[in-house]
Amino acid sequence: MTTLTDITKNTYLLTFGHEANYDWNIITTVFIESSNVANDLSVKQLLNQNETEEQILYWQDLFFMEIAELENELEIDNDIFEKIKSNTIYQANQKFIEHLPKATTVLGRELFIDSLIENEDADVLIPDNILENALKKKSRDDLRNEFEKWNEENEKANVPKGNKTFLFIKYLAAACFLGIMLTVGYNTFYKNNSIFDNTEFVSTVQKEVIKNRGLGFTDDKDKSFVIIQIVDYNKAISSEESTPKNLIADSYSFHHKTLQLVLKENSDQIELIEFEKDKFYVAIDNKFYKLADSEKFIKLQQINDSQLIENLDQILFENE
Amino acid sequence: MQANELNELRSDRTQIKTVYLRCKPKCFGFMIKCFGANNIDDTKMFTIFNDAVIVLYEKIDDPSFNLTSSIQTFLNSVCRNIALNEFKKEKKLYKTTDQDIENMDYETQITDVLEEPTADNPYEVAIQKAFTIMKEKGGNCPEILAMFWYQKASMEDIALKFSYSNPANAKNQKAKCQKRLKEIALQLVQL
Repeated sequence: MTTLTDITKNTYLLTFGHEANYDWNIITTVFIESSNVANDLSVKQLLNQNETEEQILYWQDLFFMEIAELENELEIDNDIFEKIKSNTIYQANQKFIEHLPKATTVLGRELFIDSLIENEDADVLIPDNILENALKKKSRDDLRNEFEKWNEENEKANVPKGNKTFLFIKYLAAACFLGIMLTVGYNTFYKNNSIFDNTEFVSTVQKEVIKNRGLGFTDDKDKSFVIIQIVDYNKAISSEESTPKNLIADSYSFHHKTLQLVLKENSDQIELIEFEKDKFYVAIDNKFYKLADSEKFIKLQQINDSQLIENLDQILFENE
Repeated sequence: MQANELNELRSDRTQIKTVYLRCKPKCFGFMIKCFGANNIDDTKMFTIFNDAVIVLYEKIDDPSFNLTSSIQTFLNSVCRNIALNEFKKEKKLYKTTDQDIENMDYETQITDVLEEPTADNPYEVAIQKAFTIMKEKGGNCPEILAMFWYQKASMEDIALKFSYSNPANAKNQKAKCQKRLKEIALQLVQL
């Protein structure tokens, strides 16, 4: 059975991220009975680690939320529970917890079905691969058609046996030609990678990933790095070198710890943020863009959500 | 036999995926036989079957729920009920023969359908909206909360799924997510 002091202690750890040696019983009583908890804790000198009022109120709210959630599993005196029930912070949390299971049903069902039908090979079925396969199939079909034509021609011309070698070379040449076309076409139109070999308008830097440690999704202290390659779009298209026709301005590819950017405006203020595990954002000149894992180049989508921008700004600020 | 199937599910909810994959082809075949291939397409059967599995999933923890038939028969019956409701809504007619009905693997006593949750309470609506906002912002919070409150997943399961080093860390993250959800919901309910 959980006790109220367990909850006080656990929610302290949750709020402040470290343990402390306090009189949890008295703090629990203050939480339940006081109308000005931060002041009373301070007057009674129950805390000594520079806890701010804001943090204390957050802690108290978590305390009552936990009680509301564990109400039936608590070892609790009736009189104390009556006092808790009359506390407005508890009442607000009790109302929230009461409605939470039903309110989760729609999202829960959606995610449950997603988990049942998830295709484990989904990552492999990226559009580029599909295109590549489609191109291969098309080329093979074309080749088969060619073979048929050649056979017809051959029969009509009643080619003598000695010409078999010539026919073989003809097939081989056609196959090679289609193979080359397929490879060149694929690389040029779907990958854009060759352009990143040109140092004239490409800058490459290695950056440390800025991690959001505030949300607690990572507590490891190891650093991770990504390679960022930036193509100056304007320089690239005005270059005499052949540039892929479909080079997309303000686009990116992000895969295997490499971020490739095609930017219209040159920028030297680029940061990569891991907001939550495997959720990345790139900050370019103080504007934020969400990143998806993609080998293919896709348009940068600027974040407009003010709350998220505030959070990302905060992470940058903390890591300055 | 039926009780065994249900008990297995009750002791390990993750078995639902095996049930899903095992029963799907037969449920599809049942629906085609019941209503005719011209009356029900793959997309519709897929939606109906998914809803039927949700009905089963949500009943796993209900102690008053007992199976008098196999899970396959239960799912067939629920699929039939949902499809009939759909036809009624669309005012669509379908034909079937008495002989077919006799041979079909379903039970008329099973009357379950998927109840759509109606959020008539403004606070509940606010929490649902808060979930949508959280989802748009990205991050694991909506999934963590759905796993806990809807799927009744343990902290061990949540820790495993989201690579937290231990269940305590998962519990902390869940508590933070819950508090954030409440803050968003409170802002919405005051508007």
